[in-house]
Amino acid sequence: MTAMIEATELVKSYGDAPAVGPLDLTVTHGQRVVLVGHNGSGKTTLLRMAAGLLEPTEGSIVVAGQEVASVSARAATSFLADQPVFYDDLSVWEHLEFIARLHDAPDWEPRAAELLDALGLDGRGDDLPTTFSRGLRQKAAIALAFCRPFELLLVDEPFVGLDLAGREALLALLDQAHADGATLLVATHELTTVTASERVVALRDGVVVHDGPSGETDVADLVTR
Amino acid sequence: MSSIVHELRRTRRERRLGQLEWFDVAYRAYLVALVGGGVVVWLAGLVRDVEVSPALLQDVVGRGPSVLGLAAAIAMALGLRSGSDGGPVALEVADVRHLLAAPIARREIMVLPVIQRLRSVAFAGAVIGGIAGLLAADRLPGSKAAWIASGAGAGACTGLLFVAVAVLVHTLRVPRAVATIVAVVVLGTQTAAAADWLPAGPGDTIGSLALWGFRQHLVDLAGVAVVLGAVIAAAVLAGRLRTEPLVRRADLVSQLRFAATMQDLRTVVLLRRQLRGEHARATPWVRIGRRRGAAAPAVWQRGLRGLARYPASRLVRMAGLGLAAGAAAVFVLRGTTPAIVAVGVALHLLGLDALEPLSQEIDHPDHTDATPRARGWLLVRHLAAPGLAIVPFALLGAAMVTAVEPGQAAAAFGLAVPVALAGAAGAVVSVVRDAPDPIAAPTSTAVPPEFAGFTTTMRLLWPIALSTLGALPILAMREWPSAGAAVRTVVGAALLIGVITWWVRRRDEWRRKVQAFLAEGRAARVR
Repeated sequence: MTAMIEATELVKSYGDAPAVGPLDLTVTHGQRVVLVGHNGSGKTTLLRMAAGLLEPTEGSIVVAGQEVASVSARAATSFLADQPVFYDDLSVWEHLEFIARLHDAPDWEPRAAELLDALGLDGRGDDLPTTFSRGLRQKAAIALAFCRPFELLLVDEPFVGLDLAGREALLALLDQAHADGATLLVATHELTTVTASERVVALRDGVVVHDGPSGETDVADLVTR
Repeated sequence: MSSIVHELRRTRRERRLGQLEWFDVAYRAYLVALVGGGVVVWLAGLVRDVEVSPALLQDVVGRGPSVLGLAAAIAMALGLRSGSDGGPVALEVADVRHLLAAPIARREIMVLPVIQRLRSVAFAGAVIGGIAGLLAADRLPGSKAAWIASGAGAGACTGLLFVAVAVLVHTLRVPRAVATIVAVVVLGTQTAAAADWLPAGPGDTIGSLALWGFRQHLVDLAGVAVVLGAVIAAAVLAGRLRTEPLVRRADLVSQLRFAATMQDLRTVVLLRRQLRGEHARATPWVRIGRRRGAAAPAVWQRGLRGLARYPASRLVRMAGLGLAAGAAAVFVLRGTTPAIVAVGVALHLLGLDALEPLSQEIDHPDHTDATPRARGWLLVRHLAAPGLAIVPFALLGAAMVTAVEPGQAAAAFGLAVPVALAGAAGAVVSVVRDAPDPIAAPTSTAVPPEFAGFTTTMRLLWPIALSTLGALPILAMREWPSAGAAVRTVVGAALLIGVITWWVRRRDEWRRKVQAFLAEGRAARVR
């Protein structure tokens, strides 16, 4: 199996304060991996480095066989961040159009409509997402992450603010993406999502303290220890 | 693919223009033109009061390029620092999240923001240079139009130099330490040239360009060519701007703009420090030991502990402000009266930097309210440590005056500390006035819309005017150079400091009394 994410001797520090690493991690094509750990364990930093938003202090990270943040890597990676960000002056539908066209998404319109419907945002397409509640903003961000083609989906705390229907819709979208062959790396405190994944990676103080199949892992023990 | 980005930007621009309240825009333009024009005319009137002598004209021609070149050297140094800190471009947060994540060549995304930054800074430089040219035309030979054009040209080049150097340093990933060393060398060389210790400095051609209103040297165009070369290189390398600083700056700059819109000076200062990555030192320069005793020494000790953690960059900036105040004082002493405003502004900024312990208290009102002391009691004691901290920088300014005007040494060192403290008094007003007000009545901020613009402008300018008032002893020493006058001006500065200190101590009490009085009046009317 080829590697979708390959981190080698990866280190990120802010001045003297270490955030991640040294860390070695390989995620192969099509894997569904859950990243767990305490607050400040380095989950978000790792995801942001994989998304090309943070530069490693030392070591390297390769995504889809390409240098991270290169044009090919960006084409392959969709990042659903913990804080949704939107343009102040574009509606949900205009955001979807813009993102889909930037990523050369074929037939984006039916896909976008389907996503809005699945997330309970049908009828809200012409509204400005900046006027939404936290939960609705998260749903709009999920639609943006899924409306474009990707091989790797990086997800950071996706369930924050979501209602029950939203959580179920997101889990279904993650299942579908995985079934379509995408690689998923999901950072979460939501332990119920772990059962759907095939591998659990636990971080503590920026280093991997556990890496194994989800069925054999007592995740609650990992994050409370 | 770039057509999609262009289309998005066009759509958003059209939408923004469509949402503009044109009457409001026209009213603001009218206010800016009225106030700005009035200030320029006033300054021009002040400059005319002292005619330039032939000897001074000779001095301007000889040393002008190096002295004016200091502005270009400062721009270069700031560009070096800004670039190594991840500047000078800031994208919108949504652009960072969506555009930078898209499979589009970075250059297509970044070239426009770089050009916009070049354009806006060059325009600001041209306006400042043009105004300086207008003021120069009143004292120096040459037509007004020629002076304005040459000043604007030199100002625009200086602005372009700042942005281009910053972009190049950023894209070439010049380490911060190296950038700082180069900046110090550039500034040192130019300062040495301005003091006649070296034949020329790196900013001389741009400085000389500013004198084209009086005489033209074709060799100055070499400086312009270098600046344009740097601008082209910056535009070509725009795609190599690093993502991480863009991510960090995007969020901070959006907050900064909001704070600036709200005239929240303190937040602007804090965010600018974050942009520069300026944090308190983990290890203090000097450890202030534990002491037992009364509450007042505890506040002084807290202030000293805060000052002991000032980062080196802030201390260097404060030294620069002390020197700048000294340099502006020299201009005042030589007859350029409006430079007194520059002294006031430099001392105001020095005060804002020195008042960090007080500002921290203001930033944490819950702590203040939780202490068994009146707010004024606590705040006034927070003035002691910053007052002490200003002293070395004031003496640095005096040293600057002495280096250029050795005959003024006694006055400079005698007046430096009281003038610096009186100048910092404006910063005290700015910091304390912006504090959350626990006793404000809900209706006290309701200002009729007709007066909102005026009130806002006054709110911004009043503390700076106070700082300038504190610098007036310099002007007095120019007009009446005697020991008696010096003593009288020191007494005046001390009075200003005393009044501001008293205001900090009693402000809440006075306001409470005024509000009680107004409430009684309202109650009497109802009866």
